[in-house]
Amino acid sequence: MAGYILCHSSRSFEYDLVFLMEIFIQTLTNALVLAAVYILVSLGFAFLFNMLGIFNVAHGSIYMAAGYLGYLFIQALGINQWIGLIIVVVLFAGLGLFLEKFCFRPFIGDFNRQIMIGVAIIAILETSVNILIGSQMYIIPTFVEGILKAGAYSIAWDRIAAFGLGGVLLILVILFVNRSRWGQQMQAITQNMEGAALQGINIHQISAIVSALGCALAAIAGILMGSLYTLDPFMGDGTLIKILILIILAGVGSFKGVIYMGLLLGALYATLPLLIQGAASDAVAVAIILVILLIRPQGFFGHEVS
Amino acid sequence: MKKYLLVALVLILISTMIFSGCSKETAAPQTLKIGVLADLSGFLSVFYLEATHDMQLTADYINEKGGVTIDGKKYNIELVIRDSKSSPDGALAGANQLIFQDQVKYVIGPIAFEGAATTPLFEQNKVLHIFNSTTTSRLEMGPDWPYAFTADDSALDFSTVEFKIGQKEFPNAKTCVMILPDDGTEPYLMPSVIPILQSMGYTILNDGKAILYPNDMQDFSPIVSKLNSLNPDIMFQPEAAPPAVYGILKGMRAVGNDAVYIATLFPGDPNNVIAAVGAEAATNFACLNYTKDDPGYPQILKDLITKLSPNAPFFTFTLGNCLMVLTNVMKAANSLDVDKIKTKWESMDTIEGVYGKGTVGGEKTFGARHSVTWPEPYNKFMNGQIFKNLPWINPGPTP
Amino acid sequence: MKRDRMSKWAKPMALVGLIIILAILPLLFSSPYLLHILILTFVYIVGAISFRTITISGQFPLAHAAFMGIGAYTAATLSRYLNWPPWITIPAGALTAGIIGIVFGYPFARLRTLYYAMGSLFFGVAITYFVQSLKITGGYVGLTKVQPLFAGASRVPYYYFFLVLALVCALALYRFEFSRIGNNLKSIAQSHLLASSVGINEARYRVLVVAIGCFFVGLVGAAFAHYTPIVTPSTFNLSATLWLAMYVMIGGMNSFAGPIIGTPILYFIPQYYFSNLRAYSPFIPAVILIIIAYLMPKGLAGLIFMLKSSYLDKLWGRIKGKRVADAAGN
Repeated sequence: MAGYILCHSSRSFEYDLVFLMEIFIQTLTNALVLAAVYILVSLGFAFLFNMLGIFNVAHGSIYMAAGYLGYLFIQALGINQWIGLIIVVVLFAGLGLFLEKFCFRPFIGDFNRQIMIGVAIIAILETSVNILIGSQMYIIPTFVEGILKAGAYSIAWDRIAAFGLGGVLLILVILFVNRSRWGQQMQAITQNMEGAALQGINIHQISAIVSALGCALAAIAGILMGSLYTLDPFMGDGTLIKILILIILAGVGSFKGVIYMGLLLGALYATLPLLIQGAASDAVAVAIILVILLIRPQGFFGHEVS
Repeated sequence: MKKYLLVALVLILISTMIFSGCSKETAAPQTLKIGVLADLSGFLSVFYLEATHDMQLTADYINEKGGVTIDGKKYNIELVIRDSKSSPDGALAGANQLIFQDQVKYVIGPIAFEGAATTPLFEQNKVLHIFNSTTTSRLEMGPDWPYAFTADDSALDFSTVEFKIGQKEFPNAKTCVMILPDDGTEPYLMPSVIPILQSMGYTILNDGKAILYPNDMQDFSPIVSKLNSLNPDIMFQPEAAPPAVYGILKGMRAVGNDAVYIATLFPGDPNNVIAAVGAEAATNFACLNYTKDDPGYPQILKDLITKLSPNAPFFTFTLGNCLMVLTNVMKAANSLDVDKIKTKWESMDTIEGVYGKGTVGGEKTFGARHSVTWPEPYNKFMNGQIFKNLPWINPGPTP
Repeated sequence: MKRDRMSKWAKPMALVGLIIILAILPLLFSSPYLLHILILTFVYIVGAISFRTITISGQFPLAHAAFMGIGAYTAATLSRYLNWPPWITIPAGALTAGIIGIVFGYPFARLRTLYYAMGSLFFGVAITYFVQSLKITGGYVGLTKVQPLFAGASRVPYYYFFLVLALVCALALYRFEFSRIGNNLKSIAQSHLLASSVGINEARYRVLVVAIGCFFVGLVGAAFAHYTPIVTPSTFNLSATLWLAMYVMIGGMNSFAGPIIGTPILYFIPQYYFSNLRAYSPFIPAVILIIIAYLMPKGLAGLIFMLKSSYLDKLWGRIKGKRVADAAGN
């Protein structure tokens, strides 16, 4: 297990300390980057789910499609990375508006048909990407090249950039939710939809904005993921599971919880594969979460079960 | 009474619908149906969508050259391709369809770990099935399965090639680790690999165990941290998809570790490596893969490459190679009978394929001479520079 | 009044006719591939019916395929390692699934609607991960060499076995749904406060229905393990559960016939008639789903019901030479 990290017989004690420090720093960066990606992609889901009860199972696939579209612009058409990112984000915000109008709004309160449409969207996006471009491309060029070296430690700049971008976006989203008028209206709808409507809040307008925001955040996460790791047409399936785990842990109805639990999930998935061989690491992560859920089935930050 | 009629009408409609799909078994007498089980969807489709396309080119090529002549009769090859969905149960569904609906007698595929599901079914129905890649697991091939063959290098042969590359290109490396996906390969592969490594003078870190990663892993940085903490001189990865290779290579260089890394990289244009991981990271790295312009290719492969569309990012004739081997054994046996093909294959020493002459072997590993191996081309990367068209490495016949 | 009697008999007649057609099918046409797909359709029909049975209590069990997996893996493990015969392993698989259903049902009985759906979804995902990583369950490849149910390569005995199994399960679950317990469950779904105020122990009933649904899906999963001889984690993962839910939904949640209509349409037809499309084939179910989601809010069974109450009655009235108003008296 962790034995080989802690007592590596061939190294001296001072060297061991440096070495442990190195692993610690690496794992910390990995955890933070993973957490940033998970939080970004989950927030879009959480907004719609908390506000209107829309269970968008296609969110993972939207994130995957954004990664591929980003690749298309940046690598295939040779557009500057940052401009490409902005184009994709704008396009996906548009997609969010479209989805809200035609796929979510007609089915508010109808859980069954939401899932039906979601599964159909997953099938269409995955199959299209698989057939059209799936077999040909893998990685979006890194946004920031090079490696930061500080003494014995080294971290790739693109990870720092990804984490920085994620952090800035997160602060902006928190400000949006807490300070802006739209954000406060969104919170009002989350608490009581009829009451909010009676107060003159335009629910459709807010849900459109939130859907666009959610898809845009997923698009950013997808492109970040594509530049840090690799793209594959079926990566949305695994991501959907991560999103759902995050939402369950955070508790339905909580934005704050998504952020804290995102950090927890990032830490789990960055640390466990280091200690446990192979697929068992996933199982242990899930077991830990299951124990947490058995103690608190409604999640950490969710309001009480109604 | 009319209502009864209505009910009867609906029932008849349903039954005709069920039956109508079944009555299409008319095959022209001159075609030779060969089944293909390939992952057209799921995480392995990155490889197999292109591979099935290239296989079709090979089939067309064989047909152009006059097809397969057996006992004075000419046969044209017709490929029946089914999706195995990158999962054992998908492969099983595809195998059922190939055997019972398409009624093929020869099947190429599926890939490695899916074989555990399909092999019993193929054997039960006496279908000759040829893997293009195996994990050397007894569930896929072995003494219990008389109709299981492999016509391309297995994980064991790739390992041998990689060790030989390591010795040749990076002779100073002493400590090594093996990296494998967690798909059931390890218990079969490691016992055969460890003696080879020891005879070559390598010390195996991690207590002689392989580093395993989940099959669908995306973020390889924990694996990288683990590798970095072991700090090997050289890392071997005989069974890898490009995302894993890119993830590990990029990650290792990002944490400042310059350990030698040798991996299989099918499919892939070596130029993709630098685009994917950056020039800075592409150092001390060697990968087994094909380039379009290697002058060492045999004539068949050169002909096939000219048929590729210029947009094709890479090529992988591994399935086409299996087809070529199968047809050549059929010709040599001068029969379409599965048992005769099987005995002929076991008695041959070399078989002609897309990549040239392959060597038959596998007595010790599979219990019978059911495997064919080929020399593998590789590319080396030092400081962001590619060294292409190096001499091919021959793993020798599978033990 | 004669008409009433006839319409009362039309449904059982159609049912009996369908069963007869299915029963003589292997005699008329013995394509093993057709039988294979039909066997799987029967398996999924039982899965979908038991899924719907849990939903009548207002719970949405998004771990259902995982329970099928529990049944299958239990049977496979017992058969492979202990060499137990199928007639012990199949009930053992069903019981294990039912018991785990109870164990999992209690902590989650506190949760309602969406919360319950999320909790059970996570439970299913967790089971998939456990099965994927354990040595005893064969990891990613799964368990092979499960003892087959019948000797020989023929699919016909399997076909009859699964046909009978599906009929028995459907009948049992039908009786359950329209029993007193079933009515209590429906009342819990409508208003749990009202239900508990008239003395219905909500938590106990909800756990009971989960246990029964899991028992039946475990039963068919265990039988399935003895049919395919290999069980793999990917057969029972989240997307399998979602598809099971789809089979129920396109048929219609409100009708017992829903899953029986939905499964053939979403599984049998794409699998049997459209698999030549290869990589394009996932588009077919997607298109079916979109059409049904937008055009038939109550699913296919709802559509049939709608047609029956409007168009068919009109047609019927015309055939009988009566006025529509007379015919619509029922």
